[in-house]
Amino acid sequence: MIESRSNWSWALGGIMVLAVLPFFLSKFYLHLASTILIMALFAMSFNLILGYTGITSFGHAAFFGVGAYTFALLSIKTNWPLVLNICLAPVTGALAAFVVGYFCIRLHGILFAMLTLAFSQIFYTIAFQWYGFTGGDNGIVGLPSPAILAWDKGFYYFTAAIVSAGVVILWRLIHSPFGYTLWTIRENSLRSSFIGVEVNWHRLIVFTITGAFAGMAGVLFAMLDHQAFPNYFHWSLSTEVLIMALLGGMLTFTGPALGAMVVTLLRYWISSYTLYWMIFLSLILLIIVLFLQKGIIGTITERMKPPELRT
Amino acid sequence: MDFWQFLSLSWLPPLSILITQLLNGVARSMLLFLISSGLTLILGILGVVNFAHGSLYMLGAYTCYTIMIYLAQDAYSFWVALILAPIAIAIVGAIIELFLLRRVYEAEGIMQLLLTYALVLFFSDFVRLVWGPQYRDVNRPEVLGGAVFWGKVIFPSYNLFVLILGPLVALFLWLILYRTKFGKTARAIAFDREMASALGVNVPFLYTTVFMMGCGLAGLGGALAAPMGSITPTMDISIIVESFVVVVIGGMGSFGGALLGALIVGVAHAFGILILPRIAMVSIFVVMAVVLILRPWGLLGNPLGPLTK
Repeated sequence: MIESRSNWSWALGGIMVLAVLPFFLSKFYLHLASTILIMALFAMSFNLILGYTGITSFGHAAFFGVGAYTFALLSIKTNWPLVLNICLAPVTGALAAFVVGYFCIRLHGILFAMLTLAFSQIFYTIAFQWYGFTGGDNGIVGLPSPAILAWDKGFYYFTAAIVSAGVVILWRLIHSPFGYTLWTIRENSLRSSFIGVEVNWHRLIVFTITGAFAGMAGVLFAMLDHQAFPNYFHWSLSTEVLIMALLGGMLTFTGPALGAMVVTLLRYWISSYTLYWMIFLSLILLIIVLFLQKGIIGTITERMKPPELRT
Repeated sequence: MDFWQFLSLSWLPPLSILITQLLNGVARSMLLFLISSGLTLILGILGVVNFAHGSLYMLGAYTCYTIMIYLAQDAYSFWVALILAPIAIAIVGAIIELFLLRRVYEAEGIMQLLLTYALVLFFSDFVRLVWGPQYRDVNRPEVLGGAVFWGKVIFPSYNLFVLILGPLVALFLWLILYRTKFGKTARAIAFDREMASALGVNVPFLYTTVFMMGCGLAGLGGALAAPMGSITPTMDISIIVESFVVVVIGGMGSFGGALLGALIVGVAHAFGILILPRIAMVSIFVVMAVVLILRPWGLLGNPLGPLTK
């Protein structure tokens, strides 16, 4: 199933499109494409807990911000090598996720979601107010990106390579015994515990893994824009990731990537007309909840099934 | 400072300040209790976690502001607003329940959560759109403008008013739920919805009414909070996070838990401000973390879940 020809051909097609894209796009749209790729990685890893394990987290931007700020602070305040700073971002993201997850994992459902939101608010407040440590609401500017990528298309390829690697890791994770256990937990956590699955341990591990991915997305974004701001921790970013995963389809693998593309493009388009982007985001969410509960790709896949196989 | 100086507690602020801070904390708790009890009411009877409760609170505060400005903030404007704002928010709640919430009762649990979350996003920007991003203020009503003196303790009369109103509303709620037929039917629905419906109870009507009551409570909280501090577009997130901390500490689905949790959070916040102002919020999270580790279902909660007896 995993090695089936159709999966390989989709993957190959995707890689070809990604490789060729820079030659058709101007610098602005290439920047946008890089943003979409980073958000796609973030959303697909977020779907690991949302769709595949059934955990709703409202505070994932915290780990994105942790990754970005780790890189930013280490780059500005120390002389450590660039590569080390980049590699440390997912590590700190995972660490932060582990700490937050450790407290929250006993709760389920809405309480878990609320607590993640509360913790992300703490991170946001620290970034926003602690001038001495994080630069406060001035943010951190002037961040370097890898020197060999001075070529303007270089950063896009760098991002595409890392995102592709991340997607492969996610795919292997999902189609491993660990991944199947997560799916079991999602379907019926009580029953899984009866057959001997350590539910909370699995949930904590997968939460930590998504923290690492979020941190990676954060550092990529910080390098893309050469800056890091407190609003990388803000709950509005957590919401956007959630909606990206939902819009594409939380029960599909590639859905969140599509959702990331749609949401990012919509945001750029609508923001050029109005400040009140949140209202549109809320309308999108309302439409998903009322009409498109399986997301775009989910609904399409559902329609393609013969009638007797539909739920 | 050496050990004996620490032990003698001479570093503590004077007693009058401690008492004042305690009373302020309890006044704030009453406000939190109003919000949390509305949340608990909706959760207990409808089984819906209303994330948008904080947004309704915020709307209540802004509505109070608009009414008072419209009446040019004269002597009676606050009392008029105190009555009209909750009613307006209850009507908004009715619209939400009738047209939006009804469609997701039968769907997966996460969809209800996301629906109310969508409302949070909507109201957050809506408030900015209509009233602008700047902070707003209303004056306290003249009759409550002063302060009460008791020895060296100075306590604002308005806070005393909130302090008294809180338990009164709690009593009123209790009377409705446990001493009226309406309350009895509502509790029956919480216990076993299908059976109640089979026995002839008009469940949809009751759902809407209870939701309206919960939203009215949120609006009342907002209207009461309006003269106490600034009215800001970020009120929704801060209050909903605090209300959920209250519910985590007290236990989901329990009114007594909401009261206890609100008292703990309010007092912890008040003393947190005395000790370390900038991270007063963290003191609440510390309490919550302790409760989570020792008793995850809340101090007065039910280990098996909110809707089981």
